[in-house]
Amino acid sequence: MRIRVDRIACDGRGLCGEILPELITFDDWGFPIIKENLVPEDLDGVAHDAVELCPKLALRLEALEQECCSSKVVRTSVVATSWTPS
Amino acid sequence: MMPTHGLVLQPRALPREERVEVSRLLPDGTANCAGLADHLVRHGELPPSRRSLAWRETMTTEIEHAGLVGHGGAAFPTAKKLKAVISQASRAVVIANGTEGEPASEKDRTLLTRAPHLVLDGASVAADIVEASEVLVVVHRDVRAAVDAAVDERRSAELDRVPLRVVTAADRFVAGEASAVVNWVARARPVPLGRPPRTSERGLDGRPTLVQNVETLAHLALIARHGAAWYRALGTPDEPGSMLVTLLGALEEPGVREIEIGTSVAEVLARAGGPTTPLQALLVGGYFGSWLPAHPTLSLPFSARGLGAGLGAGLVVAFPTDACGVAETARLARYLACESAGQCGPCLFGLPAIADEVEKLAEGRSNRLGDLERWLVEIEGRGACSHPDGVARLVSSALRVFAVEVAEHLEGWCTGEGERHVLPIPPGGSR
Repeated sequence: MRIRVDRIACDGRGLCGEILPELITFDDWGFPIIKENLVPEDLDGVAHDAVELCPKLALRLEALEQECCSSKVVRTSVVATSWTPS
Repeated sequence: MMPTHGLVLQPRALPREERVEVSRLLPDGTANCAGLADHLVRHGELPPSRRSLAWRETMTTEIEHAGLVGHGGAAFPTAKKLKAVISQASRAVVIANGTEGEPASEKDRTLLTRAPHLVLDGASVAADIVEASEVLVVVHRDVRAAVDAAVDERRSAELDRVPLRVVTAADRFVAGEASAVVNWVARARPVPLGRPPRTSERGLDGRPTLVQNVETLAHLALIARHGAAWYRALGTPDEPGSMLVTLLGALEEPGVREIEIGTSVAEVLARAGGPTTPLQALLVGGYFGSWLPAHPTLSLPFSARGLGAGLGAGLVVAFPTDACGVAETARLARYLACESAGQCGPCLFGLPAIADEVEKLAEGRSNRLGDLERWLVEIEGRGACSHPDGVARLVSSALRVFAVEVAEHLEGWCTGEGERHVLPIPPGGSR
């Protein structure tokens, strides 16, 4: 799995880096820097949590196949209705 | 204080008759080929498009063998883009992109004024290759009338199978990016869309959309007529063909020229009469491009491989020794920061911070050079489009090429002559 940020949707809320500090840090303005976009297997579950908890639905996990043309989104977040992205 | 660095080299301009003039796209000298009759005399008719799969495959292969790449800035292989659009199931659209948001570039406008039918031929052939039902020609407002006239002429002559529609482009730096052009045509919002999907998969109205720079389409029209071998007769094996360049700065006769890729940089500048004064550096590609030191760049071949830098949209600025590269880069960085679409955090916050720091450096009161260098690395690849990457490339190359000048500035000195501006920035562009 490869983790990717939708830069337009991202608001710099910072949950992703809290959940996945192994892969994600922040710049001086609180926006995520993906240190490593390949998700190791042992972080698979946590990565899915990060995707589901992003209040802006800005985080995606993509399959590694079909790199060149159309990277297929295998799972976008299924966010609980209590989240109200502003 | 006089410049003390060793970046000064006065190239010897070749005598006029020795220069290799190239006129594939643009007619010789200052002649125009705006009318359809002139165009047909000069280039002949396009070979008829056949709507068979075999014809479409042959054309795509020919374009692939020619090695044609995009001339809008990213140098993406044209055949690859065609294939991506062809592989989609639904009805395609072709967009001929003449937005030319780069404020210093004039080559697309020049081409659309002097040889509009070559561009429209290319758009028409591209539409047949991808089986598009419509061609949109998005052009800078300065050349709208010229393109309208050319399209009218073609309509009367029933030249194109697919209808051509002309649209006036949005007037801002990021408006020329492929997805921003689609967004402009569809929703009057000239800002890039996030990725994926690419416009070749889902673009205008969700249809597969081929967005090609107008110069690329003009080359395509010539490949359709003469084939890949003819196209490759000019240029280098890696980067075949000719290209349009906008030459400006300290040159005798600045303007748009057509050059053979691989010609030495000194010869390219000689096409504009050569430098008026010793040069310290060149800005190549565009305002998203790279600064290169005059020495040894002037003696290198003008190709991405030769220079180790992308040729972008073909901008070449001859930068004189008496101007300050740090101050000029500060002006550009501020302009580009203001031209951000403001959609992505790293661009929205990072570019103004970078511009602030380069300005402070130019004014001799820099105190965060380390932070600036870190931001330039961190911002890369973190936008929906490559605008932040372009700014990072420009500023990083300035810190490298003007290293002596940067060191002087940190000590409170400037070797340039005050307020000498070389790079044009549109009025009101730097808000």
